[in-house]
Amino acid sequence: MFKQSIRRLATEVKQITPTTTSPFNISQPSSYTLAQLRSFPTLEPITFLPLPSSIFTPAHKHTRKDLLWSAVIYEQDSMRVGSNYAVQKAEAPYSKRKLRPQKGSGRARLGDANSPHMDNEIKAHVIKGYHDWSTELNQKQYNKACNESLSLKYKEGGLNIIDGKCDFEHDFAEISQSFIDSHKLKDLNLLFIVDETRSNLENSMKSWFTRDKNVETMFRKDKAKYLSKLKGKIINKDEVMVRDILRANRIFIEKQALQWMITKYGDI
Amino acid sequence: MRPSIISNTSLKIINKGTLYEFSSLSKISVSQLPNYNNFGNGNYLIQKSNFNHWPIYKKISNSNKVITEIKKIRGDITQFKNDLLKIEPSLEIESVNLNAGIVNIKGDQVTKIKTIFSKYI
Repeated sequence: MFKQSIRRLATEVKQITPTTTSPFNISQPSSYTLAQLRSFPTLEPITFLPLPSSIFTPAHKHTRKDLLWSAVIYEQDSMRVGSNYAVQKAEAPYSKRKLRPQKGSGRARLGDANSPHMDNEIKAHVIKGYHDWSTELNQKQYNKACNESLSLKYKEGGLNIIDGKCDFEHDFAEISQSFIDSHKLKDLNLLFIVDETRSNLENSMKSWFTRDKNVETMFRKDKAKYLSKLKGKIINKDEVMVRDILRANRIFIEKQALQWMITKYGDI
Repeated sequence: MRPSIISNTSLKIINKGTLYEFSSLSKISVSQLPNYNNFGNGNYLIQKSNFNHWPIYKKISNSNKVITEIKKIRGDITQFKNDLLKIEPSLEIESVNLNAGIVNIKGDQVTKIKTIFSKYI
């Protein structure tokens, strides 16, 4: 069935002879590009899936790195909390006593220790929390960057489209180990983009990647940082960022989640 | 994208209604697939904008430098540049952006290039 689905397209190819007399070499680009639809967790190809060329651009097209850069900066800015605390001169944490006499010491004039030019934590001009660091980016630019990042992974061969649910039957850590070993995914960043919460997949991946550390005894701040840097990430479709897609070496995306992303970010 | 902690108002969520449906393999023809007409190698496409205008704009920088910008070029941009120079050799190319598909030409050449496009494309 896998071969038959594409066989018809191969026999249709005809020799094209240019008939136009225009000095411009105008031609129409392709409307679709093909990807393999795979089963999970075997990753066995089932059939071909026509993807829109407006999003999954062909290999010859240059990647818009400028848009990817803008989108990542925009996301990082929006993630900043802006709750830093800084001591200012008005708070006057030290005594107001004059440190040395005005005249006679042979050195410069000096007031109290609450001066920001001295070696202390006091800042003269500083942005204090509560501050909004988020920047703006045009919606079209962000949408284009999302498409470019997915397209980049498609061109690299790291995009796996899964038919049905991307979930394991059980939540044991050994299932994740078996999945990673059998598909040679060791030391690679994996990203699972799911349509809904897949608890078995999440629990299995988390228990496998955190097997060396006791996460429960970690501090809250360290725990969040440690979990955010794990190599296996499971993210819901509406929480995926461009940065997540770019960091991943292999992406496993459910067909429904891809449909949702094309609807939201695609210019269709 | 995950919502911002401080403000998530900058990204507007657009509800487009129904989900995108993938076409079935039986409905698409081979001419709609890549490598059929070798698009991008020696050929290109310039489309009009949604309001039926050619994507040619006059750009003034530093209040005195005038540049004509041709945008939305898909495919082989170098080939397009060469074809345009064959038709109008007097044009001076300022720069070519291969990533974004933009060709910049020195001076105000908007009317001239629009006429060429309307005649030949």
